[in-house]
Amino acid sequence: MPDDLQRRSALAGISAGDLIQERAGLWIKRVYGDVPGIELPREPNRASANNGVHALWLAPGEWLLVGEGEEIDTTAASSDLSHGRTVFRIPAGPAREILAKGCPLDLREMTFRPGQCAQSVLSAVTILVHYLDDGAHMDIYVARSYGRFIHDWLKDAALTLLE
Amino acid sequence: MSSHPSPRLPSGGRIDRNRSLTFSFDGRKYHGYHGDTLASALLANGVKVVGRSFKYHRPRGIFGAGSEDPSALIRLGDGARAEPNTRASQVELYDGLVAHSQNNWPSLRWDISAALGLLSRFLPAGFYYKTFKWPGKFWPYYEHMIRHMAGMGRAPTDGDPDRYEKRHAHCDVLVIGGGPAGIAAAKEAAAGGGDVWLVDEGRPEAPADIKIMARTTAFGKYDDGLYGLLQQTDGDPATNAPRQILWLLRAKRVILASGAIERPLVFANNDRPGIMLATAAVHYLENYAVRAGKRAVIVTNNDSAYDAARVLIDGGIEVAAIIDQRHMAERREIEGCEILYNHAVIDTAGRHAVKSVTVAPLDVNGDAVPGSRRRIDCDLLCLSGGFTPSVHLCSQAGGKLAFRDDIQSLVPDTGVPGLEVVGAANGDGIAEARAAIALGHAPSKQFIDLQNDVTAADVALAAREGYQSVEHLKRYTTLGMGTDQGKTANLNGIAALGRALEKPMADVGVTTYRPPYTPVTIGAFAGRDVGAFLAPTRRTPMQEWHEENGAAFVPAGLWRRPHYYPRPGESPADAVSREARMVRQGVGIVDVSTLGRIDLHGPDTAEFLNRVYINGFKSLAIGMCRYGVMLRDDGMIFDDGTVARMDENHYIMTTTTANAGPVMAHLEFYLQVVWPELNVHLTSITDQWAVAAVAGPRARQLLENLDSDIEFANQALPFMAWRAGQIGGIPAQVYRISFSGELAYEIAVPAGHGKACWELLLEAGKELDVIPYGTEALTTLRVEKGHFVMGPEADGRASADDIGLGGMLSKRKDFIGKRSLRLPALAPEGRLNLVGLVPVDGKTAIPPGALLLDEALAMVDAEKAGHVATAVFSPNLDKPIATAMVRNGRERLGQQLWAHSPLDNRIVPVELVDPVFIDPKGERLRA
Repeated sequence: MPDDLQRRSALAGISAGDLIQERAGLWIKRVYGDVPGIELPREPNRASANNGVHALWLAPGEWLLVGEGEEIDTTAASSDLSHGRTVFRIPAGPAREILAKGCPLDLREMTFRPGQCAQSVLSAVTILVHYLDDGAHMDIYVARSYGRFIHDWLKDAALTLLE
Repeated sequence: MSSHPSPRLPSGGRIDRNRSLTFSFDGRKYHGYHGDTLASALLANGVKVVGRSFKYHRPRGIFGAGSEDPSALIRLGDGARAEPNTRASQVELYDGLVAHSQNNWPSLRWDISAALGLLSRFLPAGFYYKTFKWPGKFWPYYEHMIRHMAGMGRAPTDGDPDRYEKRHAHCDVLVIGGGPAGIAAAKEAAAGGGDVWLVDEGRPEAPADIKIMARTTAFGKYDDGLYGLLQQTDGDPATNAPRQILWLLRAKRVILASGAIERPLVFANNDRPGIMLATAAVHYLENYAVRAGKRAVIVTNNDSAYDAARVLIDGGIEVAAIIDQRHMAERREIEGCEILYNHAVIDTAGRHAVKSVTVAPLDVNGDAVPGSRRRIDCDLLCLSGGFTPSVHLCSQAGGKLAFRDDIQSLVPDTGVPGLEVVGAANGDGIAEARAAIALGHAPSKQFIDLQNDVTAADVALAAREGYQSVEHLKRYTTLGMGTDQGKTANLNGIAALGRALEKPMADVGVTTYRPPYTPVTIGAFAGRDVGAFLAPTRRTPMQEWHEENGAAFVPAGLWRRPHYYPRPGESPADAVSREARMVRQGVGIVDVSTLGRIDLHGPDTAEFLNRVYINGFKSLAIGMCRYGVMLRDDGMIFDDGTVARMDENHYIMTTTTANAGPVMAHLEFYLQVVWPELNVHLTSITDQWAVAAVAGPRARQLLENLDSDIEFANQALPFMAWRAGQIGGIPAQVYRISFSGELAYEIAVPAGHGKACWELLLEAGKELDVIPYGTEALTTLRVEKGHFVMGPEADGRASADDIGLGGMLSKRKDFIGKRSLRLPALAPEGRLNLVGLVPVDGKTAIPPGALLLDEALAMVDAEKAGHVATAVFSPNLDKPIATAMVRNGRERLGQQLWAHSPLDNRIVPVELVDPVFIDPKGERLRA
């Protein structure tokens, strides 16, 4: 596959904005077993970081691997979702406030800690929220076909932030 | 203006006298202060009449001080932003506020309906049921009349320009009510750490470690610890500031400190403006420095009235008399105030507002002694009938209530886990009250429910007519069914019913409390789920192209799929016919990215598929695809699609667009619950792939024009095979499967390359006159080919045999739904079979959905032979055709039926034919 072939984002042609940023160009794989060099979190709703590759617990025996740049080789069976997700990055404070407008999860600082992830819904769309280790950002994963809708929804919710 | 001194005291109150505000009521300008409510500002301006009542259009004033007020309901705002039935007592005054009275015509002061006494004679309890029952055919006229006359307020007709929002929230302790008990509880909870929320309808003051939710009502308790809170905010469409916020709060522990609401007393003409709860008169004086009257009479059955009297007197209101219904041994003295024990108010006078009251002594039975009455002049009558704990949320949460005789009220009895009731809401610290006095025959109406105009006579009538359960009483009289939920009415209603039935109040019972405690606007429930956010919209990777190239769209679940691509001047029908014809004759491409795609991994996948589908999957070779049909447990067709074997333990399944989610849930259920021993992992990969179907006799030519390393020759890529490779540098999978009955391929590429691939296909097909086609042409093609789809043909009542797929049912293995096939109902005889239809005259369109009958002139109850499923015009056969489900249809080919469409009154003679109209041998798709 030639490298110059550009992957087209679900948000192509619209700007994501300063507060809500799209993480484009990630590689994303759902794996079903051990992956060399990756420490898979065994506890539900936990994420691990391995040299820039995040492993997010999804279900018993199922994880999402997410990275930038070179894809790591997974010997175990996996499903490629690199094109199948639109990923948003929002600073943690606004993210809490924005998500509260459509997601029933308890995302309070005291209950949802850095390094945790959780699956829920946002305005009737399935989402995966990952609170990054740095404590400063949250990543929100949605299926690509909902990317534009959720982008518009997030922007609308961000119109009336208190902070 | 009158020369009377202003009702507003020169000092005091929680208002900011430096911030004067202008507002209008019924078009007249008034002034108030920052910190006022609309009710306090109206009282401060001497406005007594603020509306007309629900049934009788009687003048009404400000009766309460908060959400309990049944009376002062106004329309706030104008035009699209108008909000009817708003409680004046809960509207914070702002500059430029516009409000109108309700339920009056032509004006508040001169209401025609009331003036003519039109309403009172024929609106007793149950009038709705009695008066308008017969004759039934007149009901539309009655209804029109009732609708015109009845109801409160007028809903605006224009779209609401305001923004409403919803917020999910979580806390450790939720305290409902910001009175002394609530604040004390909140402080104690906060000292223990954790998130503490204090919710109050007003603006409570509490320490900083407590989150204060001011102007917020906890209106409902729902399952799993969910509380609904409605917060009033200062909305402004220009800045997007929301007008109201609906909070969905989950709390670990809840403390209900909602206090108690004062009860009115029931006597003739107890609803005139100037009559209000004693606590309300005190409230307006203390918080807004407004005297609700100059000369007051207080009528009471408990001790709280004496404190109220002192406050009113201190505030400069003359209290002419306290009328105490109790017989007291110990007499009290208040200077300048006459105290009459063992007396009651039995009537009031005053055209628009109260001018005097009539009092009389009570006899031993609690009846007023006739002949000993006297009048006392006053412009304010304070009602002090004891206090009703606000137990609504406790009751909503499932807590049982018990009647306490000393306070004549219901209090929480059995506890609710996680909910604690404190303070007056629990009945604590409430003054003892005398039981209700007799309500003998009165010269005029004695109101119990001021909002719904329910009188003591209505309750007595209902009891006489047999509506003796309190639940029946409520429905028959509408007692407590107003927007105030009978906060001031319910207990007096129970007392009146108890008297009528000669039962103690404790035995009368209580109606169920339901959310909401106060009305919640539809806008708040909708929140931002309006317009484009009403439901999510899904977009395929080629959506942009479809939009840029003039596709007409059709909703398909949450997707919007191209329906057809009209050319300039082309009608929709012409466009569909052209597309269907050009695909049969040449080549077309259609976006099928919406089909569900599921990745299956694991050593037991073949076994799993074998159990899920009716046909065998164990022999499916790597590199090949197979069509499969799934049944539900009950033996009916659930979904169909293809499965491709990618590798030893890796398969990809496709589902129909509509069933992508349900099939995934179905498979997960069987893996997790029924067959946990199977090692299979499922992942939806619908969104990972962009898929285009290339169909038509020139499909292979088109693909061979592409820059690709895939061999498309018939031997290299036979029917039902798939190959991986690249197309124009894009990694691709090519599946030789067909839905249209034509030579066809599905090209799947990673979604981010979907638009590029689509454009490559169009470019490669340019010399072949390739066209994009939509779902309507797709339907035409599949009906021509006799393919069923989930929905029209397999509508949840069709078995595989009904559709003609009985031969696929494996006899060598078990599969989901197999056992149900032995049910007598699924025996072939008498089942509806999939057949084709053509009009007998060869040209009349067959109405879709029509009933199929054996006779042209059938009776309405004639047994149906079946129904039309999908009807299209076939451009390739140049005539209308249809699929139909017909009883024993396969045995009836060649026979004639009549397609009846009662909707457009059409009857079309049709002939039953084989459902496969084109290429019954399947030579085209194997070409």
